[in-house]
Amino acid sequence: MNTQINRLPVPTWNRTGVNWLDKKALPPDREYLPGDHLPYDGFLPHGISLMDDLPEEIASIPGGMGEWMNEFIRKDADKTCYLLVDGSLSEPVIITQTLDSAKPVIRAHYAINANPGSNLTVVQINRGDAKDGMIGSLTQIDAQENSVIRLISIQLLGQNSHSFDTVGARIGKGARVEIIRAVLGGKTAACGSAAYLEGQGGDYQQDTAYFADKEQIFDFNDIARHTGRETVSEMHTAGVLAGTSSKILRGTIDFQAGSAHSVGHENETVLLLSPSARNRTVPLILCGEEAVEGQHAATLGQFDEKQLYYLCSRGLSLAEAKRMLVEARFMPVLNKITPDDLRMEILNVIERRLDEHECDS
Amino acid sequence: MSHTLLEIKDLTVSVEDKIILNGINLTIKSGELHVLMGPNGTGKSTLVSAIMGDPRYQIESGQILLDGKDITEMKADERARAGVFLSFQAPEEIPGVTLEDFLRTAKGALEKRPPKILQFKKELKEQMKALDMDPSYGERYLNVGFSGGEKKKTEILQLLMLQPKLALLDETDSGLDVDAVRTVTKGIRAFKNRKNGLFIITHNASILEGLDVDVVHVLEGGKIAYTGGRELISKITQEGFGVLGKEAGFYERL
Repeated sequence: MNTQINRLPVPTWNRTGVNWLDKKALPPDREYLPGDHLPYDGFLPHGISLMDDLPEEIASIPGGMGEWMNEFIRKDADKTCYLLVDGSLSEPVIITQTLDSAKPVIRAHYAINANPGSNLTVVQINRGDAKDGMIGSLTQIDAQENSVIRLISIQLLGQNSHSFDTVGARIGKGARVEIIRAVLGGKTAACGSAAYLEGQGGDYQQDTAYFADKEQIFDFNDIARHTGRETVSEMHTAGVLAGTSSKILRGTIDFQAGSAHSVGHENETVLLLSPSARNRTVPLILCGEEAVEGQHAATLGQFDEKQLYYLCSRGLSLAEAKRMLVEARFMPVLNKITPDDLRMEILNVIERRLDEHECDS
Repeated sequence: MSHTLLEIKDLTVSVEDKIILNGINLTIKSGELHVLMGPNGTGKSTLVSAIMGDPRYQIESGQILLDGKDITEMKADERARAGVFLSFQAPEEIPGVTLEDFLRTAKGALEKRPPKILQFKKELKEQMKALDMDPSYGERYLNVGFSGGEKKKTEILQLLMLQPKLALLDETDSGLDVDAVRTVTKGIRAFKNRKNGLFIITHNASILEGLDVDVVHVLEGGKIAYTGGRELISKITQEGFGVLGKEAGFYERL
C-alpha cells in the first residue's frame, strides 16, 4: 500500500513524522471487495439531477489526500452520487452513510458539477461503527462561474472505525466553495482537501472543528492552490485534544504563477485538555507570484486562566466555564451547519465527550 | 431600612508573595455608593479583585463578609452567585460565545434556572436600547472586536441584566468619550436602589455626575488613608492627592 496519503506538498525532515499520514492511520488491513457503484437514490430537489457518468474533467480533479486515495475510492466505489446543479437551491441535499457489522466498508464517490450561477448545499453525514470499519469519501467539485457550493461534512463514527475524507474543488471565475467539517469520531480520521482557485475572483472558505480524545489519531492535509488572479482562500481550524490523542494539520497556501493580487489566510487554534495529547501543525506558504498576501497563525495551549476567571465571575462554575470555552471552539463551524437538529446532535456529542473528561480538574 | 452589605475586616492581600493591601477595613451598607480613589499602583484594582475572588490574589489575613456571610474562602463563581459583580477594567474577549448566549447562561447560573427566553430577549433589547447599544451586538462574540467603549457598556449591560447585590466597578469610565461616560452613568443610575450597593473605582468625577455618593475612600500604600464625603472628589480632581496630606486633620485619617 502506498503510504504517502495526505502528503505535505513540500516534504520536510522525515524525523518530524509529518510528511504524510502515519502508518497507524492507514486504511485497516482487511479484504476490500469491488464495489457496486450504486447510484444515489434519495430525494433530490428541483434543479438538481444525477449524472450517469462523470465527465473526465471532473473525475480528474485530485483530492487533498492524493491520487492513491482518489483511486482507492473511485475504482471500487460502493456508492456514487454525481450531482448536476442548475439552479439556486435553498434546500440542502443530505446524504448519510452508516457503517455497521453487516456493512463495515463504504467507499462513496461524490461529484458536484455546478453550472454557472448555481447554488447548492450538500451535507454528508458519516455515522455508525464496525470492527475495523472504514468509510472513505471522495468528493470532486467543479464550481463554474459565479456558482456557490457549500459542502458540510459531519463525521460521527464510533471508536472502532476509520474515516477517510478527500475533497478536490475546482473554483472558477467568481465562484465560491465552502467546506465545513466537524470531525468527532473514528479510531483514526484522515481528511484532505484541495482547492484549485483557477478563475479570477474565486473564493474558498474552509472551516474545520475537531474533538479527539482517548487514542484517536486525526490527520488533515488542506491545500489552497491559487492560479487565478484576485483569488481568496480562508482556512480556519479549531480543535480540542484530550486523552492520548494526536493530530497533524498540514495547511498549505500555494500561490502559483498568475495568481497576482490573491490573498490566502490560514489559522488554527488547539486546546489541549491533557498533557499526553500530541499536536503537530505544519503551515506552509508557497509563493511563485508577486503581489500576493499569505498569512498563517497557530495557537496551542490550555485553558486561558483569565477567560475562566471572567466567566466564573459571572456565576459559572469552573466546569461550566470550561465547557463553554470548549463549545465556543466549535461555534464558528456549528453556526454554519444545517439542519438545526444536526447541529444539536453534534453539540450533544461534544457534551457527552466532555462529560468523560475531568473538566473540573 | 439599610443593612450592612459588605464588610471587610483587616484584609491583607498579596500577589506573588508581595503584600499589596495591608489591613483594609471597609463597610458598605445597602443603598450606599462608595467611591475608591488613589494614585496609580496603590492597590485599588487589587481590592476589588480580592473581593471578587480572583485566584491570582492571595488573602493573607482578614475577612470579607457579604450580607453577614463570610465569603473569604469562596471561589469567584460562588461569590458571584452570592451577589458580587465586578465590572472589569479590561474585559476578556470570548470568541465563539455570543453576548446574548453568555448573558443567558450567566443569568441561568445565578438564578439556578434558565431564564424564560422571550422575557429574557425583551429585557435584553430594552437594556441595550437604554445603553445606546446596537442590538446586533447581542449576536456578536463576547467583546471580540468591540471598541473600548463598547466593552465597558457591555459590562454595564451585564450589571443591569444580572442585578447583583454588590457591584464593583473598576475604572469603568476609563477610555470613554463624554457621551459614553454619560451612558454608563445612566446605567449605574438605573441599577442603583435601596437594596444594592456600589463600589466605584475612578479617577474621573464625570462618571459620578447625578449620582448620590455616600462615602469616598482614598487608598495609599495598600491602606485606606482617608475617608470622607463627596467633597473629597472635587478636592482631589482639582488639587491632586498631595493636598490630602496637608489637610490630614480635615479628613478622617485611618
